[in-house]
Amino acid sequence: MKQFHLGWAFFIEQIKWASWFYSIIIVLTIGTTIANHWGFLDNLDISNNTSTIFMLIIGLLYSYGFLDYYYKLGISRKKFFKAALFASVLLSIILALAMITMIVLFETLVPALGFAVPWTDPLIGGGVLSFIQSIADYSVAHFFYLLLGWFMGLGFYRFRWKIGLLFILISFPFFGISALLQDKADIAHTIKFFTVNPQIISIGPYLIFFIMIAILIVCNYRLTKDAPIRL
Amino acid sequence: MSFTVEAIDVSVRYKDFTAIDQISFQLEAGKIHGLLGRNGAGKTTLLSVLSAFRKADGGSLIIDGEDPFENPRIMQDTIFIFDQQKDLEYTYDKVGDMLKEMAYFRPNFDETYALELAKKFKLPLNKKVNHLSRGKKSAFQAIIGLASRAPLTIFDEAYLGMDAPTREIFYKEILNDQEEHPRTIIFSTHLVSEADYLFDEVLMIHNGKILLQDTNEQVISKGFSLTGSLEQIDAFSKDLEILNSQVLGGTKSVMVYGELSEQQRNAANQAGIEIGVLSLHDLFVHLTKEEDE
Repeated sequence: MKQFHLGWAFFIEQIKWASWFYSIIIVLTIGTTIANHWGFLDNLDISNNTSTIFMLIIGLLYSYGFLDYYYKLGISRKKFFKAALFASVLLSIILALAMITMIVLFETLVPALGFAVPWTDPLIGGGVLSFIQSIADYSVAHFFYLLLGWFMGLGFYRFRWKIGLLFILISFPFFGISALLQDKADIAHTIKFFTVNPQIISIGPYLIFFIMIAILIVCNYRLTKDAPIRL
Repeated sequence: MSFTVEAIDVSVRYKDFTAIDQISFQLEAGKIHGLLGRNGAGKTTLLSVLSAFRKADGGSLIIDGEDPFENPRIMQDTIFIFDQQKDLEYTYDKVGDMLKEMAYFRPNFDETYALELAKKFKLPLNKKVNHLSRGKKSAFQAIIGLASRAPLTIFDEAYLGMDAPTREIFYKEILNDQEEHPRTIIFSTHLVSEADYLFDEVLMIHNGKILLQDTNEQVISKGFSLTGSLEQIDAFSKDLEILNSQVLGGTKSVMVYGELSEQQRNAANQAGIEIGVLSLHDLFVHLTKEEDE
C-alpha cells in the first residue's frame, strides 16, 4: 500500500469515529441549550475541551488499535508512523473546522429560535480574524492532545502497565503547560515579566506549543520505530 | 515467488529467561517446513522474530537476502497467521469487506480464491467478523493466509477451534495451492500425526534450541521400532539409542533413534526381530521427553 493511501485510509477510519463523536456532542449541546432555557441547568458554561479529550483518546488507541492492526497487515513501523502523523495533522485541522463551524452555526441559529447560547464568550462577535485564529488554536490543541495520548498509549503498549503509569506522570507537565498556554490573559501576564515585546507576547505561547509538539513527535517516533508487536 | 530464510545464532531473551538460544538454520524456498516443539519450546517467539514482530536480541536473520526488520518489501510479503481471537473480537467489518480490503495490503492477494475458500469453509460473507464462532474466525484467518500467497507464509497453530473436517479442508488447500503457487510455508503445529503429510522438511526445537532439522523422509527414516522376545531385543538393542520401551509378557518393543546398517537389518531378520517404522508423532513425543517424564 502506498504511503499516501495508507495515511488517507487511516484518516478516513478516524473520521468515521469523529462523526459519531460529533453527533453525540451536537445532541448533548442541543439538550444542554434546552435545559438551560427551561432552567434545569442554571448558567452552565460548556467547556470546549471535549474535542481535545476525544483526540487524547484517539491518540491512546494509536498503538493498541492502529499500529497493531496495520503491522499485522505487513505495514512497517516507519510507514505507519508517517501515515499516523499525516492522518493526525489532517484530523486535527478538519475537526477544528468542524468544531468552529458547529459553534458558529449554533451561535447563529440558537438565538434566532429564542434560546440562549449555553456558553460565554461567543465566537461570532470577534470577526473573521477571530474565526481563523480559533481554527488555528483548535488545530494545534487537537494535534498536541493526540500526540500526548499517543505517547501515553505507547508507554503502556511497549512497557506494560507499571512503566505505562510512569508515562502518564511524564505527561502531567505537558498537560499543565498546555492549560497555562490556553489561558491567553494569564500567559500574556506571565510573559510580560520577561519582555514587553507584543510580538513575543502573542507568538510565545505558540512557540512553546510547537516545541512541546516537536518533543512529542521525536519521543513517539523513537518509541515506535522498534516497538515489539504484541501477539 | 518464495523466500529463503537463514538464521545465524539467533537469540531472544525475556528478562532472565532465554526463549531462543543461539539457533542457526536455513529454510529452503518453496517448501513446507513443519515447525515442531513442545509448549514453551520457543516456536512462537521464533516465528515472531521471523515475521519481524520483534527484534532478535542476538545473531542475525536473513530473509530473501535481506534483514527483515523494518524492511517494507519483506514485511508486505510475509504473513504471520496466529491465534488472533482477541483482536477479531473488535473487528466489526463484514467478512466479505475484510477479504476485499486485504488486496490493498498484500500484493499477491487473490480475491477470487479467497471467496472460493470462504465458500469451502462455509464462511458467511455478510456476517461481521466479531460475530463469527471461534472455529470460523480461525477459518477466516486461514483464508487470508492462503489467499495472500505471501512468499513467506507462517501458520502458527492456525487451526485452533476448527473442527476435524474443516482442518482437513485447510490442509488440502495448503497442498493444492502450494502446488500451483509455491511459496515458503512454515507450519507450526501440535497436531503432528494429523499434519505430518504436509511437511517437506521438519524443524524440531526444544528448550530454545534446534533438536533436529531434515527432510520429513529423512527424519522418519531415523526412527524405527524393534519387536521381539525380551532377551533378543535386550541383546540386539544394547548399543542403540532407545527412545522408549514397552514389555508385554515375554515380548518387548523398543523405539530406536538412529539408522540400522544392512548387516544389522539382516541380523535382526535372522533373529526373528520385527522392524517397524515410527511416525513423526512418535519421534516428536519421545525425542522431546524430559528426563522426569
